[in-house]
Amino acid sequence: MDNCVLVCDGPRVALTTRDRIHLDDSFWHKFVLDRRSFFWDTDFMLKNLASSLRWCDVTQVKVMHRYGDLLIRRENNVFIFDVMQGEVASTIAIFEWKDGQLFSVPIYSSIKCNLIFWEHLISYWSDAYKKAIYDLYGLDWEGWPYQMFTLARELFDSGNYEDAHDLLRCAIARAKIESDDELVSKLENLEQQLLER
Amino acid sequence: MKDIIICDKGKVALSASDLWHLQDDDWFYDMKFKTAAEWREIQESELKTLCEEHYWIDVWSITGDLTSDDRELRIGQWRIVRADDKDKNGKVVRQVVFFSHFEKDYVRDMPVYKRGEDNSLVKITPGMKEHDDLFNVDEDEGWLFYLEDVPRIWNDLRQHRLMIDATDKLSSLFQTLDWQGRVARLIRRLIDERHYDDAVQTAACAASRFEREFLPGDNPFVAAYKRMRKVLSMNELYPLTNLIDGV
Repeated sequence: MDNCVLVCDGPRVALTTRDRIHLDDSFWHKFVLDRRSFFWDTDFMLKNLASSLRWCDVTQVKVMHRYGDLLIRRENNVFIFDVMQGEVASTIAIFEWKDGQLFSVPIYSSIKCNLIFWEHLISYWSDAYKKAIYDLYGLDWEGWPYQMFTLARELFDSGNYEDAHDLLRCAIARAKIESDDELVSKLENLEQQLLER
Repeated sequence: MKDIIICDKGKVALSASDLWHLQDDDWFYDMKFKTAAEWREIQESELKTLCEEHYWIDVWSITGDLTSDDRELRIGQWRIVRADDKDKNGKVVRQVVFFSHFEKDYVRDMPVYKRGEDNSLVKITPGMKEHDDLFNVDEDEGWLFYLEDVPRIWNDLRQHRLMIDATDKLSSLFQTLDWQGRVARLIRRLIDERHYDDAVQTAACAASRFEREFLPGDNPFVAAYKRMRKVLSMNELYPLTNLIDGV
């Protein structure tokens, strides 16, 4: 259960897992291979995810409602969210319903459950994507080095080996002129990796 | 030849693609020398003139009654047909319009459009509940343009011209087989594919390599880099200044 996440979107909540909503690093490694696909696919991913999650509208809960593994209890405008493990309920979150929005109340829980607001999910994805790029290549996603490296890799993958190599040599020259020894070394490593493929 | 339709909400004008500058033509040669401010004014005035010069047909004013002969309108090479779908109580549940283009013995049936918000024409595509595999035509040969998209198309065509001009110092390298020729051709290809930012950064990297291998200072890649940046940041290239002209 340590992997669980409670997603909130207005009055709706859904209990899910970190990997289901793509918060695990490994998912993002495949997007790093094609920088354009990240921007194309996120809309579809959000739509698919929204339609596949089991949402529960808390305003419809009178006193208590069991929704899969999620048990929602209501006390006036306070909603208590329990995760059922067998017949044992463990409280994972408490929300207050105020001004048409759910506000989380800090609690101590033995079960680690992240609370994520739907509107923030894309920012989490963006962070995960940037981290995946850095993990794989040691390059920041914004800036010319990553842009040139991915372009070189696209050229290489489409069979334009000389163009890819020329481009990386140009990028290395630029890093040298900028006296960025660390970047020179990274680009030379990436060039070597590409040539070895 | 009236080969395209311009669509403004529920109104359409039958027209010719060259009149609307929907492909790169001589008009864009003149336009590339204009400043960004001049270009904005010319664009607005050209669009206004074109709209005034055309006869606009309200497609939803044609009857959609399936029993009526008047639901078909024939104008020159074009045929416009309206159709209303009704439920069993006679209530209209969907209104559609479709176009056919006649050229000698050849008839091209175009995609079907339904009535959207503000009377706009919404193309029925696979995946939509209205789509019917037996009846709907999926292929789109680029013949219907939304009026609101025309300025964007013009901007794109003008910007492409400017980006090509920005790299004219590289043209002497296009015929060479060394790295400079390959990178110069790569920059041109990136521009043609509208990957302008990649083209700019490639030019900057190539300028650095040129500087390290040959001469410090300006070189054809520096000039291309500076000019392309001017186009992207200011939406104009001319007049060229010494600051960006390079070698």
